[in-house]
Amino acid sequence: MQTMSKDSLFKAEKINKSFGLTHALVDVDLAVGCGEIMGLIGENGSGKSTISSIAAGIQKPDSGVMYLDGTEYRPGGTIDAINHGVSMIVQEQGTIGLITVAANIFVGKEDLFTKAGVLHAGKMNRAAQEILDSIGAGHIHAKSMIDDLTFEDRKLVELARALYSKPRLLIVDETTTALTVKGREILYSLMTKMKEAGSSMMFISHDIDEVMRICDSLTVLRDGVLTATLKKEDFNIETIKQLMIGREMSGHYYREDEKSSFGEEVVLEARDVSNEILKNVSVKLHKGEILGVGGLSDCGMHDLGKVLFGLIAPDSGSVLLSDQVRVTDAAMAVDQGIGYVSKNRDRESMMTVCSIKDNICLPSLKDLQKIGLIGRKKEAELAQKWSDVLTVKAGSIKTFCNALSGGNKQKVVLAKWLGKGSEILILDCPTRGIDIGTKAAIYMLIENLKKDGKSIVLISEELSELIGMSDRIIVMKDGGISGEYDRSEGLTEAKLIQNMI
Amino acid sequence: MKKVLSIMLAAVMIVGFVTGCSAKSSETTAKDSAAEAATTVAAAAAEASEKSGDPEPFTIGFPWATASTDPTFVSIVNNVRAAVESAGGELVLVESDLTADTLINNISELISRGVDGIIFMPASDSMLPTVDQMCSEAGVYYSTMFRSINDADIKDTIYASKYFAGACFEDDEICSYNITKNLVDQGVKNLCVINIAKGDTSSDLRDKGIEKAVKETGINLLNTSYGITVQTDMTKTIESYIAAYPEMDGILLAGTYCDAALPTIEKALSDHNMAGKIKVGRIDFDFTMGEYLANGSFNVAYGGQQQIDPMLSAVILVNSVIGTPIVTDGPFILITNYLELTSSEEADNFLKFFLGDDPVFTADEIKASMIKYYDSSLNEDSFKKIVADFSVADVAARHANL
Amino acid sequence: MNKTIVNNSRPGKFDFKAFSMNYFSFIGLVIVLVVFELLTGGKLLGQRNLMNIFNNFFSIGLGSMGVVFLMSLGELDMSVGAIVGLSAAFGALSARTGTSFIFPVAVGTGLFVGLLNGIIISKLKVPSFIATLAMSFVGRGMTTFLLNGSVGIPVSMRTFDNNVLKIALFITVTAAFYILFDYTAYGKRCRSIGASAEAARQSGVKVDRTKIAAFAISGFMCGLVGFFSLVRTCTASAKTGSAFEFDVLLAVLFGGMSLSGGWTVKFRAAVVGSISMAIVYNGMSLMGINGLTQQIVQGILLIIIVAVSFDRRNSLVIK
Repeated sequence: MQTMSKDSLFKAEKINKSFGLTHALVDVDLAVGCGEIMGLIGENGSGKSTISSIAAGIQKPDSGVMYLDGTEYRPGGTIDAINHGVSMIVQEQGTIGLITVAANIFVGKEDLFTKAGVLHAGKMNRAAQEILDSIGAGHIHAKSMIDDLTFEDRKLVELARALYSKPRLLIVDETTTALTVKGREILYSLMTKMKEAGSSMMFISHDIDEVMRICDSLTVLRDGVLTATLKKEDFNIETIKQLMIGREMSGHYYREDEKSSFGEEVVLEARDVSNEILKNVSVKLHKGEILGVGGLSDCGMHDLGKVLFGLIAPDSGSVLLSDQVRVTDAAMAVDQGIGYVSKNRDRESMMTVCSIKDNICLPSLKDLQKIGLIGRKKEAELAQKWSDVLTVKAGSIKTFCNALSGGNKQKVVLAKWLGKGSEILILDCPTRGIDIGTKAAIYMLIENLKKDGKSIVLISEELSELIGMSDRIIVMKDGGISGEYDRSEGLTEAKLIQNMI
Repeated sequence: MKKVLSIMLAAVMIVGFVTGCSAKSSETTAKDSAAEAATTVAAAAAEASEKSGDPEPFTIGFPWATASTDPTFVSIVNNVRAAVESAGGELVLVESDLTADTLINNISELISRGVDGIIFMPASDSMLPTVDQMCSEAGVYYSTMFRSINDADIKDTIYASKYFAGACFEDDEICSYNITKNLVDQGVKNLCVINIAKGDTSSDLRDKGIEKAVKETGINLLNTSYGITVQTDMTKTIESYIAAYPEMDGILLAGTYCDAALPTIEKALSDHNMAGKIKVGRIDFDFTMGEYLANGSFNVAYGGQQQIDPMLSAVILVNSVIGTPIVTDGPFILITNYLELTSSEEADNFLKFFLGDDPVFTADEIKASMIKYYDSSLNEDSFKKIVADFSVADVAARHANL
Repeated sequence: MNKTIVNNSRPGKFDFKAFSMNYFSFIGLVIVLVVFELLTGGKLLGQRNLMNIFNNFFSIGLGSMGVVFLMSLGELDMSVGAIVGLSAAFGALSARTGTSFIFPVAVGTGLFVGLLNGIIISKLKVPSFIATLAMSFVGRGMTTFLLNGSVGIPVSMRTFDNNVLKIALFITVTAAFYILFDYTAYGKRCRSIGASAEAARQSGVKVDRTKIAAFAISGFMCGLVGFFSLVRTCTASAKTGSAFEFDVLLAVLFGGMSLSGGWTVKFRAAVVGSISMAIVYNGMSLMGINGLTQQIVQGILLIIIVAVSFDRRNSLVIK
């Protein structure tokens, strides 16, 4: 049970919240002390985002009370919460497009710079730049349009905005998944500074290493119920994993074998491919191989994935299949048995306002048709089969995908290609922003696919993932290949990072 | 549940249509015999040459632009109504945009609503055979207003039709010839014209008359614009004329569907300080002429038939419907004259008596002088006299005490 | 994974809200039918009037079904009226060579312009609203220029304005398009692109080809409508098909179609919407309501319908 300490900055007692039939939070008690960074972890659907959104004023609890500094805290909305000193930054895009960085930082507070109805943009810009400099994001110019910034820089602007209101409780909801190493460092140092100044933080993440590193305490949620609270001294990675999933993590996480193994046959090849980013890249994918591709985020590896799938036509060079047939466009690639999972899940690899069934059946429409018609039963059978194989958790295959958690969405995307029977899969950051239980399931799936003779290109920014799963790893830098490693040699992060920077 | 609903709905629709189709033919024969019966009864009554009560009640359908608030458009409805009600009939109005497609649909609808006669203004010659076929099948009489038939073949077909009661129209060619000569007499040497639309019968005839006058007098016809329906386009056209033809000294508004055309033209002229320097004439009277005639920026108008024409067309139709057609061996074609108007007093009278609430002949006046059911001595000549005697002064005198 | 599930709904309870959202268009139709039947004193459903209603919704219905595909893609076609006019114009002109040319020429013109629209929109990446609007200006201009007023065709062609033929054609087209939309790969691809063009592309859908085909279908249907307009009035004029695009747009909105396309689009929106709208027009006419009031009523109905049908977005978020 919780220790109800009088000096808790934030306290939540017996919070309950249901969405229709789903009871997302069951009598949750939570407390964050002054100057404490509390980590909140749990699988997808555990309720951690629900409780944090309630604390931030986005939703109201069905029952239960919250206290801030001893007094009852019932935020009427996000602005009300901000005024009470509770701010939140999220995983998705939280900035407002088509206006400047400064305007984003001071959104809702323009009055500070308005005299007689006229907004003094110069003043606002200067103030914004000060804030950006103070958090170590001085490379961002307050005058720039937010749309010109990278995703990470936009996140930093969001951070600046949240910090400006000098929150007493800052909630960081799975923000780090979108950040690179540099961005994360900025965030960690800010959090440390805030902690020293007496503010508290609620830190939500899937990355157990990260959480163990910066949090003072850890609260674990599972199925809407608080299962454990750990103090820093008790942090242990295996215990934590177990508490999250509620069962023994049987066997391994990544692949166990330490030798690379793949066939002779080259199933997919990029030959001397160039475009704006890529520079004369040549890559060979063999049958039954898991080919890892890694590097810093703008090294060109994401583009390589798209080029291999035929989404982008290279300016020079070509992409070839095993019978020397050129890959000309995505439609043809799909017909030839290639599948692609984009790193931008919601916008590119699936239709969100659409049922699971229709998503899964989409690439296989031609195969399903008989005299030009597609029977409802056949569609349902295909979708149900692969949805079950990947254990997609949803009411039915008719559920719309925007109701699914990140992990389940990814399962649907994979089910789509398995349903099509694609022999070659190009996966770009397939486990980004997904809970540990689903991650393990996906790794197992990838390994099984390899055993079945399918060939996989695994593009990822997570080094441990690449090391754990690949037969060969190609490291890219500035649009070209800077290194190639074989599993049998023994892969370490150090070796890879050398080639990345 | 979904399937059951859709099947039920589909079934209801199909059953409805099938019965609708079959019902049509049986009703037609009933209508024919009714019409015949009416004719025999009426003939008997006429023989007796006595006012034997009133004719059977009847309905006349009239597709028209009922959404327009233009006083001319409204007065047309009033005049048709007067003619219909004078013999105890009811006017059924249907909203129309006056294009061929819509008119055909309107007429089809009116027929299935069981009207006894239809009066309309044809959009083109080519729609008439279709109308004739529909009306003949259903045994419904029809007449037309404002338009003559140019195409010789169509004219023959329509004139031979039993159900074509007749038509009223003006000689557009003579009218536009006369008004052009009038403008030339006032000193115009370089003329610009605005006309209704190419392919519109009246419009084409007015073009012809203008060309004839231009050739005779040797003046320059600078340009003719067609198809203007909105005021902004009218303004643009006038401004283009002013800009492109500095020698222009006359504008003839030969016809248009644009609302408030004259004020728009006058404003465009005065904005460019040309009002009064350019002679302006128009075919078809309107309610704004008075003020412009008074200040000299407008010079001559030929018109005044926009009330008498539809009224007489309706009278022709009504007489056929109640069984006392004016002409028994064919359609009654009546040509009305254009009145000339050059003074603001005349314009004021026009406004008061033509565009007021009263039609140019009230229902009682029509009943007394134009319904053959009540006066079997009426014939073609009687109507020609009515037309000849018709003028602004005539209406003013008759209606002075209304 | 064991979630504590609280059963909120009573078993067997009729979920009225969900039902009314799904069958929104049918409910609208029933309401309109009942209201106007009462207001016209029973004349609405009289035998002869039913044929009038049918003639009203014949063109609009065909036009609406033609645009269903491109609307499920999330596109708009503002040129449908102009295509009808142009098809009728070419058809009428071809009558001089021989009346057997009228049908193929009319339909062919529609198909050709539709293809053109599709190519401009997918290859040149011009937004559909603008491209089709521009096409409509071009089309109207050409029609006015070609016809120089109006052109007639022999009255003998009126035999094609046969009610049985039209009913049979309408039912056939409805059935065929419904199957195409709901049960073939093509229809599903259209909706996928409407839901997310990029996701569809990454699943192997040939986006450009699908779009071009959708506009070609619309053009073809317009050609068909042009043909029937021509044989009904035996005239083609510059005004043929004017404002048809608004009639079609109104009809599909009446039926509850979502303008952004995607998987929430239902085929029935086109058909039921056209019928509802035809009933409203016809009913108002029977009641003797004048033109101005009719427009006001239409406008009010449209606002109500759009407001009601637009909260049909499935946007549940369960964290």
